[in-house]
Amino acid sequence: MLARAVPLVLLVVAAIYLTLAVRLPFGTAARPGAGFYPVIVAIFAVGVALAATAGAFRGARGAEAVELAPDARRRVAISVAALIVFCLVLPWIGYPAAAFGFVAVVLRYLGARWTTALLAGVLSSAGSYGIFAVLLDVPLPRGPW
Amino acid sequence: MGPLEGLAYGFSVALLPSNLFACFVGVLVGTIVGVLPGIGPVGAMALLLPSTFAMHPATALIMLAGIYYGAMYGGSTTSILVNVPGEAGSVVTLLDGYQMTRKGRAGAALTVAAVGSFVAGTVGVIGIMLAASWLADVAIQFGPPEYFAITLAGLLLLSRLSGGSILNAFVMVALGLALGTVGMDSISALRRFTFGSVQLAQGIELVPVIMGIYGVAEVLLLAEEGIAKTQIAGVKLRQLLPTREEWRRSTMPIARGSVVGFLTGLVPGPAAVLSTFISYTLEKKMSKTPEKFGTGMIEGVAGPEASNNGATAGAMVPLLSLGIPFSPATAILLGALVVHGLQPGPLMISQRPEVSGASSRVCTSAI
Repeated sequence: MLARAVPLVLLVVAAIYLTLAVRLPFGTAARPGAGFYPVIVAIFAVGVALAATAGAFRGARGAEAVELAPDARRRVAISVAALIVFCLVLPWIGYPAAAFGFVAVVLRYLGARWTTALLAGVLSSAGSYGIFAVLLDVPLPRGPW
Repeated sequence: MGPLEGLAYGFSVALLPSNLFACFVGVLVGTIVGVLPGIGPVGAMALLLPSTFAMHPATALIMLAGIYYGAMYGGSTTSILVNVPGEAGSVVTLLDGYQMTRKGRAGAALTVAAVGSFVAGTVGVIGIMLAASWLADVAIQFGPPEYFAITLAGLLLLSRLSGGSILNAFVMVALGLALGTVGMDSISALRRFTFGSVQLAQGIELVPVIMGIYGVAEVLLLAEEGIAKTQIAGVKLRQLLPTREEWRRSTMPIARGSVVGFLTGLVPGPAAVLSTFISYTLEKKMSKTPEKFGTGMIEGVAGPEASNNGATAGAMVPLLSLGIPFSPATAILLGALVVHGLQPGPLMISQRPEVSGASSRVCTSAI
């Protein structure tokens, strides 16, 4: 199932990219516009994605995907969900809080004890914020506090 | 001053205790910063450039070169140990380097990477001395068709690297090319695929892509396997050194990687990255057991690690002989030269930066 879904999704992405690319001014070969190169890339992308999708549905060699055990799948799903939540709340609650929450929740669900997860969350968020924001002046969102 | 006298003079400057100390500090700081995710050699040099302003020009250059090489090595370290490349030049290293770590041969991989880099750096310095001006003349004649051919060759090599289905590799090449078109068009300044976002107008940088592809993928893999299973075997000190067999297998890849890297470095563009692809593909082709690549072959670490350092040395040729930086890192070095009142160009046969590069490799190996 997964082996067919991946090239299919890529095909859809390539098709959307093509429709967006043709809206840009194409220009001519001598005076290429902003859309000249993207359209070429998009046609190439649609072509190879189409071939990959066809191969996957025919069951071609190299198209098989690794099937995950149910609990492994659950852990991956939780990690992806936590990552998405992290990106969404980052501008609102700031990097230290978001990093703490992300690390603690993911570690807890990966099988660590609550105390370990909370401690790792505090250490990693404080440590990374200290190095990047304080020492190296990387602008990280601090949040409302 | 002949090449040999120049070299001797360069060594006499580089081996002053104060310069050796600057080199050591530079390599140490560079390695630490290079290990941090997302900050590669260029970022490390840019961050630490101001701290060299007060120094003697030669000392400052030595420290910057030390930072540069240190950060490169730091990037390779994370590539080998945790499967997340610190910068683009060490992406290829993780294919076999991380597999070696899983087999408990991390120390051997790190040592071979350091030695390979050192050898390539030294070969590069010799190359610079012997052929700098002549090679620079050839490189400067490259026009758009040549760049296009090189880029295309790079993409084709890339698609042969993954080892899996070529079709899937091409899909990924297309995806990467498409990501590259996001942002301001360099000719008409029209914004492409930004959906009104100001951040996207600057394009998608390499670091977020690397972190997303390798960093997040590694985290998800960890999630899949669960915490308990990801224990890596403890390593004894003696196992840190490569075995005689591993040395023997690394020798030729290092030699070939040095030459490939130096020649690629002369050409403008992302030479360090391209050279690692070329070297890895070359080693795979030369190997009697190409199917084993990707499972922890030391050749796959030795070749690319030598070549990205060779490329760094090669990139010094246009910088020193013509004053033209072909890569962001050499651009920062150029900036540092100018800040210190030096004019790069045909007259600047200050062998100092390269010699410092070579000696900084000694420091790195020592750490």
